[in-house]
Amino acid sequence: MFFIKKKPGVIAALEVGSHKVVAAVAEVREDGSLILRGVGEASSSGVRKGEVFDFQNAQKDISSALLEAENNADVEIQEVYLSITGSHIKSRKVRVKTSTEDEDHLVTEEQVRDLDEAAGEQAIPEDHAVLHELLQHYTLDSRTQTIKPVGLCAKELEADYLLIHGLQTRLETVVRCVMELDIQVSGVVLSSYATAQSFMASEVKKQGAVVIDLGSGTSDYMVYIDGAVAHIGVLGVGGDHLTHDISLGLKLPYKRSEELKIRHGLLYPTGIHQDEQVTLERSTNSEERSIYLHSLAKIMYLRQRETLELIKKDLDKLELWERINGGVHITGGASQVEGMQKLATDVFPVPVRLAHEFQLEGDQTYSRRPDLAGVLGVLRYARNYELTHPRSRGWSRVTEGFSKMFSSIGLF
Amino acid sequence: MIDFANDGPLGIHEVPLPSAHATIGIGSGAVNIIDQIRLNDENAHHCYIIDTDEQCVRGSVVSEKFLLGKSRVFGMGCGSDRKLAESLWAEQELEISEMLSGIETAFVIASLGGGTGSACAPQLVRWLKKNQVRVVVFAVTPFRFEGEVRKHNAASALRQLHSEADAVFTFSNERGLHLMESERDIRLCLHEVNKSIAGLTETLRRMVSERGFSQVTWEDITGMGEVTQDAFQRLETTWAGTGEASGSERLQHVVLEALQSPLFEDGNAWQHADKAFAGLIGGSDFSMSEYQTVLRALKADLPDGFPIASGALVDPAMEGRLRLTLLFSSSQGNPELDVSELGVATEKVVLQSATADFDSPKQEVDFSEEETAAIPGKEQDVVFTDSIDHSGEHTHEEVDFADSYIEQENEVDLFGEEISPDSDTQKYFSQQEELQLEKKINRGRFEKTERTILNGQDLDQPTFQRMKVPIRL
Repeated sequence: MFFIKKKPGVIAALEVGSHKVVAAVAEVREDGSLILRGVGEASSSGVRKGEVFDFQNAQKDISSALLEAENNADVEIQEVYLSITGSHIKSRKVRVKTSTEDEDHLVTEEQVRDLDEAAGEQAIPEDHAVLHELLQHYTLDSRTQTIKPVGLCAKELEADYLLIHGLQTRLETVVRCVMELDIQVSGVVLSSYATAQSFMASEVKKQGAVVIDLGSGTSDYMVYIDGAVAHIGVLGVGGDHLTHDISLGLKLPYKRSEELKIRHGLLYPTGIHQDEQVTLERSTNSEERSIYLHSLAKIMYLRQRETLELIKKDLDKLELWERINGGVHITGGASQVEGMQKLATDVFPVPVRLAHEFQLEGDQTYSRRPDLAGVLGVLRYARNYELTHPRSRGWSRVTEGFSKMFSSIGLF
Repeated sequence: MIDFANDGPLGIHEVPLPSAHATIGIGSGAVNIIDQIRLNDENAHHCYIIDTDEQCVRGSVVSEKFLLGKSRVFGMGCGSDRKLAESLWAEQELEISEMLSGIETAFVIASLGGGTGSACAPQLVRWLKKNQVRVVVFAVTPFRFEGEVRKHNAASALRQLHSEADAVFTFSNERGLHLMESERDIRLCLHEVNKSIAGLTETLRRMVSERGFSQVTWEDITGMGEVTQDAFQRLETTWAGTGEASGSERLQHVVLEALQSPLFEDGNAWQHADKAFAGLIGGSDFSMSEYQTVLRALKADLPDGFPIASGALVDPAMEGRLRLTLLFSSSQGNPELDVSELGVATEKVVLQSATADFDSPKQEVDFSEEETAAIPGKEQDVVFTDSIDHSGEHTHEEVDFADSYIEQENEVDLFGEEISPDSDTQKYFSQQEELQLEKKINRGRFEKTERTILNGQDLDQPTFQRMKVPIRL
């Protein structure tokens, strides 16, 4: 059992990806440090492009991953923090303001709370639900910007938020998928937001940085400016597309294409003669095949370059590159292909770093697994959330932000 | 025994439900055409309009209307922003689908160039096809002078429409420029073009949905709309005109009026068309000899063997009058309105600019002979691999990884391999059946998922296929 009352510092994270479902369990120590207790993985057969398309299969895979994580961590999972993605997820900037009425114009906590509530009530598409309401900064009298306005004096207080919202039905589906297994969902977090927590230091966020998570179903990205999230994006293209391209281009079954991608995938055929081939051994269902490495590289290069260019194009619209001094940080399973650093450096106008290692305490097996960046990030997000939002009534309590989101879709 | 007094439609005349054969206008320009249809026939209850411009929607005489994205663009249109329009559609597709439920055959009029028509017409057609609706699109493309964005939008939308709809008839607003009226009044210029398209759409709809004595089948219409790949990037494939007359010399007048359509004005139709259609609607006095005479006259003026489809319909409301609708279509399209000739990126370059921007325009323009020579040919493989600078600095070849995509038109593929009819790579190319656009796109693993469409491209389709890059097997 996941006896949370006996082990109050244990949290669990779940990422339902297009390639695999991953569950991770960690222990939060009194000093706030996070110790990874165990990870469970299962192949995903009910999810494409980050969205559930086969409910029963998705549930089966989730169940397998949770079971493995339970065995490895020696706990029973009753609640999880869930990572969410999908190209339906959008963001919208909103600005709300209020004025101080008393004579000394002191900004109070109540006013800050009012602004927070007002931001959450801003219009989003009717069929969408808010995932996150991320504060960017407060502005005092249209001049001074701060993130802690309480106690300062101003006649007018403005707050800029980034509302992250997604299609209600799609969010509902993935949450239901978990809840119908008798697992409570303690919170949901946007995948890229979680990923950023897994390796981004707050100093880098303040410098301005871009986080790109090249996953199997989607490519998620997020921009930090002055320590706050300034933009998010989810592109419905990921490593699955890469495999799909290989499969169609080289006339290979999908599984063999995946194997080829993992074992021999490359973006630049540097030093490889154009006639050089790799051999895929004969298997039960397939004959032996020889594949030109140049052809493989060509297919992979075109797809990966296109993906990064599309992200760059979206970021170009923000005109923020001059404020990105912390560089572009790329992680995720699809970022492991050989040549990614060079390609990304070609595409982006700022330095690029591949985030393939994470600082972890506990089981180090997973510290060099960029494909787990998302789920490890969810653990960090959950840890931070638990520390800043102490539980009031045990597990039955629904977090404020979460209930705001799901009250609209009738899950709670 | 029952003696039939008349040939032609017999028995109980089955009037289809108005909504079963619908005409749907999407985009502001299309709304004007739909209004024209509605004004011509007050019983035209089969018309629907969809737009983001509130003034346009509110001003329309059609009752079935949908203002898209009101909460986000506040009825101000979407300013040629296709991405925005696509997102508005995605958000409200469910509501639109409720309005359009029950439709079996759709005649979609799409004004391309702006945001709403260009972005949402393909979405609409996709939704209709998904719901087993037969769809013919009448696409109206912008004037040449309207700028790159509009032409690009129109070109992208056309590509999608051709791949989704049963048939696409592409009209160009450009024809309106040749009217004398266009010198005096811009409204007259557009009105004349709209009137011709409205006349054609309505005639075809009636010919398909109502029982005539010379029936037009769906296959006739889709056959008329058949085009080659070249036509995908041409902003005009169709010309049409409608005439109406009464009196003793109505036959002569009706033919003359139809031929005076602004779309036939400058002779492009005669020069490029390779198929024709004539549709006649008359009252109970409409005679077989009139039908025959019109077709004979038409055949006499066209080259031998020129395929002509025709249909005739008796409408009691047309008593004493005759209406002729002529349509000419070209399988190749009008090469004068080829997007690549108009300074808009060709299909390949559009793909590039819309997706990867592999190359800056400057590099593209500066693609000198010297650089071409530096791109390694097949015999220069070793040069190619050796030329990569391991220090990480950009060497000529590294930069041209991207450039070489543009190079495909210069018969050199991405990785520096020559493409020529004699080369081995040509063999590989022909083995790539996915590269042939006529064939259905294989969505493989993503078959059951929502398409990832961005900038007019289906990102689920392999990048190398969209860029037409050959892969050696």
